[in-house]
Amino acid sequence: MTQTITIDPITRIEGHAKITLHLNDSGTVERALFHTTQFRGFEKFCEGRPYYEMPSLMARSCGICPVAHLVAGAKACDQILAVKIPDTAGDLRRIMNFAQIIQSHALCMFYLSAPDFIFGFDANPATRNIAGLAAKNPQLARDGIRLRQFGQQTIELLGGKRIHPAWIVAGGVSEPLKPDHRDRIQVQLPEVKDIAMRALATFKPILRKYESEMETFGNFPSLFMGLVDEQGNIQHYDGKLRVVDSAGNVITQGWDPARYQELIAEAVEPWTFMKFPYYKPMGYPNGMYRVGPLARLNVIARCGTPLADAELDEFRSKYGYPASSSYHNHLARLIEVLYSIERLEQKLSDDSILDTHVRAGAAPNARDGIGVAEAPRGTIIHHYHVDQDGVVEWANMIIATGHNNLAMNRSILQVARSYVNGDKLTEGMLNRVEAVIRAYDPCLSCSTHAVGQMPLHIELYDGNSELRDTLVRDSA
Amino acid sequence: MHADLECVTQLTIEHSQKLRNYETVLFIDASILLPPGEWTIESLAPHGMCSAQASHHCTPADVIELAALLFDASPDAYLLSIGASKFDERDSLGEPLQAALPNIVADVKSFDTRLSRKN
Repeated sequence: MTQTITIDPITRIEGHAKITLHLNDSGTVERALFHTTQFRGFEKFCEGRPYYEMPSLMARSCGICPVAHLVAGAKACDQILAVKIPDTAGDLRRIMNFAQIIQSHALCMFYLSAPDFIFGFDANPATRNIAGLAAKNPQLARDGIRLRQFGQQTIELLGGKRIHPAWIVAGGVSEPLKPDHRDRIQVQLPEVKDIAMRALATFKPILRKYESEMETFGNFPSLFMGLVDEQGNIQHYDGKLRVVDSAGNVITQGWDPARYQELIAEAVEPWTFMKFPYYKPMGYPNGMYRVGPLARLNVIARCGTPLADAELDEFRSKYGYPASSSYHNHLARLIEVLYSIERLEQKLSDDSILDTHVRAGAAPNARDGIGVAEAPRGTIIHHYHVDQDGVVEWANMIIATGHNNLAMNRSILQVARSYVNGDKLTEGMLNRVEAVIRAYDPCLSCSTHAVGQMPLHIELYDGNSELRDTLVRDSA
Repeated sequence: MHADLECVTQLTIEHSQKLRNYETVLFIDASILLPPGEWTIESLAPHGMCSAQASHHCTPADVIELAALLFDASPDAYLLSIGASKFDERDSLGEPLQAALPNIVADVKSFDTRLSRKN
């Protein structure tokens, strides 16, 4: 018998998602499929546009992490121009990317995920949200708001506005950093560093309480990929690609991101618009890899800043190396927030950041440009091919949530097998499926170029492919 | 009376913090519930309920509620709702709203005067 259960509050993911769970004859979950059912075709409609429009144009695919798209898009354009951008311009881009990481991670941790940890995964969804958090722990809610506000203000002070600033451009940035804006950012750093430290102290013991979720939220062997610098330390702006296996062995290192097509291929499945990137040497689907905060901590030697490195040591001592559960993305995010603040301290204290030479000019000198950066959710790749006049002939974007697609599907299967019993869906099961997806902080708007905030829809099929139960979370 | 004007496409949780700095807040929003060209001004106050579930959509009442909850801020708050019918990007004002606009502006100005007297 088909039964529909409507659950409020609305989903806390971005984009249009549907999950189908397929049971075998004995009633256990055999397959779990994560469908994204919308398509915008960003790569297609940028064809015919001039290369210099690409950073801002492609950033429109997302209102959550536009800065990462601006960075990757501008880096691709730098290659088309064949210029070395001024060092200060690179540092200013880095600063904006750190600000983006801080605000995005704060959003994910405090607004979207913290209610699960504070109230529990089985709590009433009417209170398991940011408003409930504000009532129960106002200081924690204030800290989250303050961190996010700081990140957004920093983006605004650099680029003129908080969302879709058109400041990161081909060849550098459009304007230098004003001294008084530098001061306004700097003066806030001690406060936000205290908040980041307080958040770590608060969440570490809370996150440890959920042992069952830790065991089942995407806890399986996989590869991990991310950018590292020449010393193997964490990089969010440039560097080389490194891939480690589930035992922590480095299987690819020093890989030039411009050669990403030799490393990564994309598979397609008929039931979703989201592609399935995989590590080419291991084939599909064995070449499943993860990107994002956890992956970054798993591929690096060190962070390179004192407080973040101390947290990294503690993280590895508690959860091993590499840490395999995607649940640990949450703690990894907080460590990255702290790291980003430490890096902002360093970058902004150097007066060269106020240098006024921040853009290199040139006409198109190359037909291909490939820009790679670390977005809050993981590695993103922008590849543009232009004609001799710099007009885009085709473009390709591989986005963090796309990289994680195989792992997200595997994670849903793992959670479903742990929590779904028989042919009836329960509220607790839905909560955990949502939570395991949220551990990846997916941005389906980016990865499928879909639009809007849409419902999450879960369908349960029996061994005869008959629909047995449905859970729906309505859109707002 | 000094007033700051801020135009936003969406109210967010972060706006609750800004309310700390003000004695009076007037939210002005288009409404699909009112006939085009009609308007109402209603008082808002914290009422123990907040419908904000996600990060980027709050009602004026949510912002008031969060301001009280998180920042101990309870400014006098009002919502001016203006009935409208055209909401597409770059739409201009429809005829009924265009005709009503001078009266709406006058009402807001007299509202401002009333507040000044009150304060």
